[in-house]
Amino acid sequence: MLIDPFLSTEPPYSERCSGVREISDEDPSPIKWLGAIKGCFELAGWTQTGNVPSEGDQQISKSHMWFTTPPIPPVVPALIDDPCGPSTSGGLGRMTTGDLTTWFMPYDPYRYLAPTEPCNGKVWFPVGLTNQETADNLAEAMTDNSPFLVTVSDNPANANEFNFHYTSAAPAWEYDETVPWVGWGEHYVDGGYYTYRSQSLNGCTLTVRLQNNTTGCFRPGGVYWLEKPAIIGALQPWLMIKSSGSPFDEWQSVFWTPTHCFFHGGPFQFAIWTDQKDRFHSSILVSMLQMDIPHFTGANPILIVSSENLDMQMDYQQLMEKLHWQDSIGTGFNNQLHYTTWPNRSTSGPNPDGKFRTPMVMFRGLRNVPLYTLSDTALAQPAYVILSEDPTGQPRGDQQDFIGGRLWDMAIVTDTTLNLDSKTMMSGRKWTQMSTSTRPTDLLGSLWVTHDPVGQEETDAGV
Amino acid sequence: MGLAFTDDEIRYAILAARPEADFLDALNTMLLECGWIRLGDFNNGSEYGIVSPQGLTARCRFWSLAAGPGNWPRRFMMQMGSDASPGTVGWEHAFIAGVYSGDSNYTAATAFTQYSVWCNRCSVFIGAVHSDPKNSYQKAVQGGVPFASGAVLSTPCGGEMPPPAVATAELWFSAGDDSGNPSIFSTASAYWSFRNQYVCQRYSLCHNGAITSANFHSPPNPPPETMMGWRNEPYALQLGIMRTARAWIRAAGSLAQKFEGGFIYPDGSPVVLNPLLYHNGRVIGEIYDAALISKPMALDQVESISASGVLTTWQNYMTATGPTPGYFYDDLSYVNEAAAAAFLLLRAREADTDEGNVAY
Repeated sequence: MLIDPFLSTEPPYSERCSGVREISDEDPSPIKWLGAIKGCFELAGWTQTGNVPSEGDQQISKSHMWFTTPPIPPVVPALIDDPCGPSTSGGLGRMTTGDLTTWFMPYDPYRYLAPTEPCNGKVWFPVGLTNQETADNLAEAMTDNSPFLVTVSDNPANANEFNFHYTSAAPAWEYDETVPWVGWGEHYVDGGYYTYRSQSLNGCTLTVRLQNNTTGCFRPGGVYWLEKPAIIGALQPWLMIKSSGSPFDEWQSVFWTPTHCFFHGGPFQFAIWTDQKDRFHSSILVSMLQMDIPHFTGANPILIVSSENLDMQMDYQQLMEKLHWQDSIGTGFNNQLHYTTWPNRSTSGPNPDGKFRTPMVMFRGLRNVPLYTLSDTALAQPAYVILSEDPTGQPRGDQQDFIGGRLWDMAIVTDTTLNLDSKTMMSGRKWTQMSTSTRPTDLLGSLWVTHDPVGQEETDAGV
Repeated sequence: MGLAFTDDEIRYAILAARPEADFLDALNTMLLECGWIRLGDFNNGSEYGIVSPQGLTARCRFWSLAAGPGNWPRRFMMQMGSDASPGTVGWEHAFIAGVYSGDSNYTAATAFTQYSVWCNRCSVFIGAVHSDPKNSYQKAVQGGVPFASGAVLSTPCGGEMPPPAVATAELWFSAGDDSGNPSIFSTASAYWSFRNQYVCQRYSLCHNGAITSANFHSPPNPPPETMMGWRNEPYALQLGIMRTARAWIRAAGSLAQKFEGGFIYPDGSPVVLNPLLYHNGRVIGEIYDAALISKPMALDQVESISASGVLTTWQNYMTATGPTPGYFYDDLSYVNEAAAAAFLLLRAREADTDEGNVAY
């Protein structure tokens, strides 16, 4: 006997939801972009659970940290010639934020007098009687005149070098765009992050880490990594996701540019998408899907779809152009996330055909043709998702995929429109289109999200 | 979930296919007990009038024919027609009077001697008692008046005031698995109808006096414009089964995704949904006293459902099997989306004493 098997006809609605938040790209700063995203998570009801400040390391030969010997007999120190002039010759360090650079200029305190306050982008600091003292004085001057705590130690990899270590004074990445220089090493002080945790759904949670990081590259168009040190590349925002059911596995997704995009999120789900097409306009959907109540026990499904993770990705707009996803996906039940990784693209090993199991939206529609009522109204349905216990599970034909529940605050409509910003009314709510099917063999439909915030005062989280 | 129930009599029986007169007599008894009105003789059978709970009407004829001409075997015929305009009729659908030992076309694999017959006050579903609904013998018909979506006018179409375009004043359908071509009768695979697929190849549908009698021949025979292929499938009469965004079994072998259990939850349960009826890209209605379920079931297999204090018993009418399955992604290649579906007809409905008495 089947107990309460009837399909739900409504999407699950969150008691708190950000609605659709638009993130501007007028000032394409990864810091501002990530700050806007952070604000969106708070609107969506996620809780900040931690933060780590950005850090960086640079090395310099000890011989560069020149020192002095007091004159005998002592002399009366003379004013440095034009200490606030344009010349920065001899500077031992600098901090750059945008077009503004602060130079750290050394002087012999036994022979010269220097301004005690910064002037015209210069900070004068005294050299010491040893190169260690000079390095310490430089670190103190940088600490007093930059957003970083700067410390000096020997470089454990090279006894002839000092290692300058920078720690952001901000909670996380707020000063990542300030670039220090004393020599060679990491270009940015980065890697700081905030963690936000979803609300608990049946005892399960998701944690997202919002982080700026320089991105390295093994080969053109190849695999990317963000573990430090990453000494090449530009600052890029990263979103990393863990589930409480698989705390040691982490989904890592890069956002290539601080792009114009949209955010929609609730306590158990969020999505970031864009209306532009190319690799550098990224997207992501993360959801603890709502399993139908009679089938709740032990289900706890998870779905992640993004444009790119630590994997070669060939379908960057898959989230906006399809209602089924073949690359850069993670799925699982029991709140355990399994995701595609680069080895599964190989032509050998357990998955020689290089194909993954495909999470798909399930609905009632027609292929390549819209489905309407007699009054020419498209059908609106909840967005059920079919997904696998393990998307890399092989052989592919020997496993059954299952109904993974419904996406929150989202609905399928059995027609498509060209305008991704379309808004309409369904079930007394306002909606915005997020994605649409574009392949002729696919079920024709579009995915819509609730437009207005719920459970909070209206605020502007845009950049 | 609002299924459309007639809240009226339902009859189900297994009837012997021969003698043909006995079959027609037994069928007549069942139909009359469901509320069909016998209008009179039609050939050696009967013509009936049916009225749906919405007041929509239609006519239906059953009779039998001896073998011939050509390859036609001894058979029954069903034809739906308009009650408002009796000259407007649909296809004649043939279903053979069994395959018995001693028949010239007898084989053990294709033999059958009984029909599974289900009817309510406004529809009838007939299919041979045989495990394979897609082999070479044409042995299934369906027809009736569905529940009409949207506004309904029970004024006949022939009235002075034509109904608004979005209101339904007349709606009936018929389908069967015979191609209408005697030269291939019993020598080719049966056509798709609701006994073996979610979509029908040869059917009649009348909506507000406009009748469509379609006959999409089987692939891969050209021309594609008249073939049941990707061009025509979205517009043909079909049940609104649950489907996935991607044609999931388009790939073969290890590249395919497997749904042997259908579209089911991790606990093995399928979903049940109302049996929407589509035509020409429109939801025109749904079948009364019926449901769709997202798992495959054997023909005539019984399932029980308890929901909202009501216990219902159902019997499966559709099994999508056979060599030429469901959906097309080009003119010659097709996959079987109905492998994750079954079509249930109501057998009984009662209060679930464990749950109380709340209808759904």
